[in-house]
Order: sequence, then C-alpha cells, then structure tokens
Amino acid sequence: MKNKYLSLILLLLTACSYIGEEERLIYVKPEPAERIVLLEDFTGQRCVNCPKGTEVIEQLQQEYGENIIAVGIHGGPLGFAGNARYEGLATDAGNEYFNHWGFDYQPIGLVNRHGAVNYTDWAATVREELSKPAPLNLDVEALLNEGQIDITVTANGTDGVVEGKLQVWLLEDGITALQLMPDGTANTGYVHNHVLRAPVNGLWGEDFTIAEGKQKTIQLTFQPNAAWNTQHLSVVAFVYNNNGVQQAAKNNLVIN
Amino acid sequence: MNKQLLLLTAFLFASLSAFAQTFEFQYQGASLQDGATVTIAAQENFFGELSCETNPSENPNNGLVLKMQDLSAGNVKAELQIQNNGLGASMIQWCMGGACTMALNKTSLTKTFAPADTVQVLFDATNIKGNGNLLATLTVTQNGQTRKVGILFTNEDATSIKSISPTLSKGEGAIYDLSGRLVNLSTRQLVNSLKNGLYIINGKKVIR
Repeated sequence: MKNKYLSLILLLLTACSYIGEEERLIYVKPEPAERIVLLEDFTGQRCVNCPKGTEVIEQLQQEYGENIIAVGIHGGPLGFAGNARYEGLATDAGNEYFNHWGFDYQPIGLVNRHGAVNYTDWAATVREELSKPAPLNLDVEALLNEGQIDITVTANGTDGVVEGKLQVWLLEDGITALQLMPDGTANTGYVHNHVLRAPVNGLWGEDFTIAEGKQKTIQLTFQPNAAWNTQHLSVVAFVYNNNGVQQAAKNNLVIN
Repeated sequence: MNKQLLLLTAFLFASLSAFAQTFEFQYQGASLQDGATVTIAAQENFFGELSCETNPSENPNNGLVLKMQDLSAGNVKAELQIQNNGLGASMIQWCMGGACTMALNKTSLTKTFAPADTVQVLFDATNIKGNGNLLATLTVTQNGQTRKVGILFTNEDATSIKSISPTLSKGEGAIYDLSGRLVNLSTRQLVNSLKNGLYIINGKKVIR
C-alpha cells in the first residue's frame, strides 16, 4: 500500500512540464463596454422649434431606452432666466456652454460631442454612435441623505487608457413651465424633462484617467436647491476628451 | 373677326395669368402693398420683456404672414436685410419656413424653404434697451415673382429720434397704413387711425 502511494506521488511529480514565466498567465481582455450615447440639447423657452427637438428625443428614448441619455441645456439667446411672472430654466452654466460651442441657432445638439447636429439629424447620428464600442463602463448612483446628495461614480476600463474629464450633472424631470411652441403660441402648461439644473463637479468636470482592466471610484457631494423637486432629480456622469464623449451613465436620485 | 378677337383675349388672359402674383404679405389679416412698411413699437411681450415682435405669441397668425396660392411653383427664397439704427436688444431672431436664425449683429440673412398656405414671418427683438430703431427689409422670391415688405422696430422717444434711410426704392419710404394703403397726409382720418406711438412718415417723426 505504501509503495502504491509512493508511486503515485512520484508519477505526479514527473508528470508536470516546465512553463516559462511569460506563459504562466494568459491575459483575458475585458468584454467591450456597451455604448451609452449622450445627447446634449441646447434649448430655450423662447425657442419655437425646440419642442420639435424634444419630440425627436422622445422617439429616440422609446427606441433606444437607457442607451441614450438626453440633457436639455437651457441657455443662449432663446433661453429664459425667469422673472416675477414666469419660471425660467436657463442657467449661467447653460449660457456658458452655449457660448463655448458658438452655436448660431436653437435647437441644436451635440451627440457625444462630435460637432453640432441639427435636430433633424439627431436620429441618424445617434444610431451611428451606438454602433461604436466604448472604452470603459460607467455607473453612477446618487443618494439624498439629510438634504445632501451623495454621488458615487464607478468606472471600469475595457480598452486601452482613457484620459479626459469626468463631468457630473444634476437633472430634473417634470417641470411645468412656459414654452413657445412651433405655431408661435405660448404654452404655460408645457412639461420640461431632463433639464440641466447644475453641474456637480465644476463647469467642465475634473481630470480623469483609467486604464484597461482597472476600476476607479469617485465620490462627490452636492447640495440641491430647495426649489427643485427631489423626487424628479437624476444624475448624469460622462467621460469626455478631445475625441468626444467616451461613455455616459445616468441614474435617478434615491431618497433615503 | 369675333373669333380672332376671342382668341386674342384668351391668349392675353392666359399670358397675364402666368404673371399673376401667387403670393402676398398680410399683416393682421390685411393685404400689404408690395414695398409697404409695417411699424412695430416696443412693448411688453408674453414673457414680460420689452420687445418688438411681428407675430406676438398671443395670436401669432394675426401678425405678419406670407400667404401663398401656388404650392407647386417651387421653393421660396427669402432674403432679409437688416439696418440697425441703435436698437439695443439681447436677442433678435428670424423664423420663417420652419427654421429660425439668430439675427443679432447680422445685416443680411437668407432662407430657402418649401411653400405653404400661410408662412409666419416671425421676426422679433427681445429685451430692448435704449432708444433707436431697426429696419428690416424682407424680399421673397418664388418662380421669378418677387414681393417686398419693410419691418420697422422702434423704441424711440420724441427727443432722441434718428432719421432712417429706408432700403426700399424711391417712393416706398412713405408710411402705409396697416391695410397697406398709402397714407395721404392731408387725410387726417387715416393718420388718426394709426395706433398711438411714434412713427416716421416720409422721413419725419410723427407722434400719434
């Protein structure tokens, strides 16, 4: 019996072959990340054609679901900051963004920041962007706790090194406010969705780098304006660089 | 002979019909003569902002519109020439044929669009400051036919009015009433029918 065990041990030891150091680990590339497209709609309450742009967005959201994230950036010449009579949705940030891109009409959009796109071309441009793989996965969570929003952004690199900026925005849905309509009339009962309320981490975001196969977590906090409806708030996070938006994510605010 | 006369008449009628105008400008429901000027004084708009608007949002189809009869006559070309004589505004835009263009600091704009029964000529200046006026001349062409209208935005008081040089051709600088009829200044009744405000009539200021 003892001899049998000894023989078995000897057999096992001699059955192994030598593997060189460089062959001991086989790298498995991460699965390609599913592309989420960011559509920035530069809109305004005094913009008669902007509701047409919103209709296109609604059609795209029906078709692509969570694979498209729309943000309504109110500002520019047709933005309305509000007065004693009516609520305005234009923000300083919205004006800054509009002026930065140098648009000369509204509505106008950016689809993954690859240049200005007329709303009549949004559908085709979004379709084209969705076909491209993304170099990272992005997740965002937001929790309202005792009047403060705690935001967690998690990124996983899937292809190469991504260098750029991480931008986080706060949006609000379901805002009933004045809007000029395509027939020229003023609609005081218009419901505005995905309205950019404020940038969370600066006007242009913060520096961001992630390598393939690595994970990174960023924590942010934000104090929401008391006038905003926290039940309708959401957070958008996206990574962008000179090659456009690399990936985007969105999540509704969870109230603790 | 009668037959020849009949044929000649029919030929003349057909020829004239080919040249009949297939579109016209209207303001507040009334036809405008070719080359008429519509004067609009600054007032509070729906948003509570001091503005001049050809088509206020309270009733936009009752403003300045292009009425078109022949929708098969091809695309419409519209050219807007802008002469700003000190009218300060944070936003000036021109919408026509389904497209809008910012017009602040612009002197010339062009649009081409498909014809429709009624095309709003939405031209507005918002958040007006200071005294001054702005004259926009809109020329519309379709299938070789052309019509022109002037749009005069004004926010001037009696002491600071500046004279303007209308871009319309000679004889068209005189004011027309809102029905497009040339105002005979000796006919006080027509002048008195104008809304209260400040007007430029034949290069002179007239306060109503």
